[in-house]
Amino acid sequence: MIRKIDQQFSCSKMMLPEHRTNLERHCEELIREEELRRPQLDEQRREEMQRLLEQALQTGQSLKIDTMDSYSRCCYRGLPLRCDPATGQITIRTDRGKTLKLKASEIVHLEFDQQE
Amino acid sequence: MDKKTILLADMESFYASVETSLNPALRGKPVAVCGDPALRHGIILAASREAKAFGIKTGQPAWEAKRMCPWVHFVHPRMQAYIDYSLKITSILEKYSDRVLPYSIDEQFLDLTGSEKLLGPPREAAAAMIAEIMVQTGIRCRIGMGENPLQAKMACDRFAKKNKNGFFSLNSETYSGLVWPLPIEDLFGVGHRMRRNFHRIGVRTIGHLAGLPREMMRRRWGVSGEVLWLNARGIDYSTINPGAAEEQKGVGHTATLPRDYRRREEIELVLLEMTEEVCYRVRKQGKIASTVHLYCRGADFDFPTGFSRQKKLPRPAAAALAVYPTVQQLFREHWDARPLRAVGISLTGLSVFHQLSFAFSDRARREEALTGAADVVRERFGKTSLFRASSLAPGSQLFQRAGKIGGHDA
Repeated sequence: MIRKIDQQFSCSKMMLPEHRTNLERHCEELIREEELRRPQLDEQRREEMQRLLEQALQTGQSLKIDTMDSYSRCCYRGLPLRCDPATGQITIRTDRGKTLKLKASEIVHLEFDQQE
Repeated sequence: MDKKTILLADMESFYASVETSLNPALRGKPVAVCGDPALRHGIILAASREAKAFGIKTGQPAWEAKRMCPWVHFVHPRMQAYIDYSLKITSILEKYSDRVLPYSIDEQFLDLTGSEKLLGPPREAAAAMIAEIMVQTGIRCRIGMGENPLQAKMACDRFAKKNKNGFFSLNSETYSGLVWPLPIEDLFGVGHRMRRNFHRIGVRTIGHLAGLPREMMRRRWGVSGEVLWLNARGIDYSTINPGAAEEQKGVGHTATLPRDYRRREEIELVLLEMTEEVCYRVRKQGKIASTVHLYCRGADFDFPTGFSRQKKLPRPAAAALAVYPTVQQLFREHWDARPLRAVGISLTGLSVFHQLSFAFSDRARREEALTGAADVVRERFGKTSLFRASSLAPGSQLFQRAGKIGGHDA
């Protein structure tokens, strides 16, 4: 409950219902944009991810990989099978046995899968 | 605790400025935005700076404005365009802070606390905002700054609007020196009725009020009196927190009728249509209401009549069929059979609607399903796609009001 003594402006706010609805939509868009904002990876982080990937390929350890394109953010769990620098694709076999090709340029996070 | 930096950005003659921005041929001319005089909406909603120079003011009847300036350009309001511009300005302000809170269609608060290293001194950030809003929308913005929203509002309304550069800053040190000499009606929250009350007890300036004991204000006018006393001293506990879910206390709707309504059936028809609309808005929020408030204003300006009464519903509801009997009862109890020019309905005591199907009879469940189905049809095909047969009778306002925003053309 808003109390006048604490929030006098919220109590006296004058908003048309249509304005309120439009604002709510605007806020939802902002949140979505924020969720889909691509993190900027620095050189050190990129090198670290490269090292983890190579290690996983050599030792046969599973990875947890987050990818992001302009529409969605996805999380994959699986074993890296190979890395193709020519096409920029990483092939993984997911924990459900499916083989997938991921674009290296879309990877925003990569770590060893702790759940394995 | 560190001092806060709160800004209030206010758009000059907002509706008129948007019209000028959309139609550059109006630039530099006296422009007044007003509704249709034929439908008794001929009140000036906004006047451009050039129109104000002739003495035209918001709230004035159109005929009076025409007399003051015969070559004034009257423009019909386009509410959706104003909402779009307001959102555009919100987006511009969001580049400077993630704490932006629209207060009305033409005023928005911003919290710039802690962003000095990023944006430079707040005064410069404010100047950049004013310039950017002007470039992107063609609207002149004025900014008031303070250590809390109240100081920002006072800085904007009382000083920045009169400043050439459109900026003014108040703080706890300068507040008393600059604000206390102002007349009491210049204080945020003091309307003409409160001004009269203050004059009666000898309070003429904001400083006089600040000198009264806080306890006296609380005893006399409750929390409202206490808030005014705090405002007089530049104290305000409000925060700018757009993320916090805002509890809406009530949903209401008031309309000026296109002519004086005299017959009971006609007035009750409009009340039923308005009940439908208000209930729909409550349902959209997933809520139910416990109290209904009815407001009726008499047609005679010289002898103000009418009433404003509220009543608890037998059971919290959001369906027009459940709410309307109480509206009708209130109306029949209090209407003195004199013609009316405006009516309003609001629903308060909102709570989240938890569906407890076992608590409803079969009939109530069927009615609820019917209401839900009607909402779906209206949302998809428009407000007038499904309506009561009574809305075809004379006096109905359904078709006139459909597609309008705030009673004006969208």
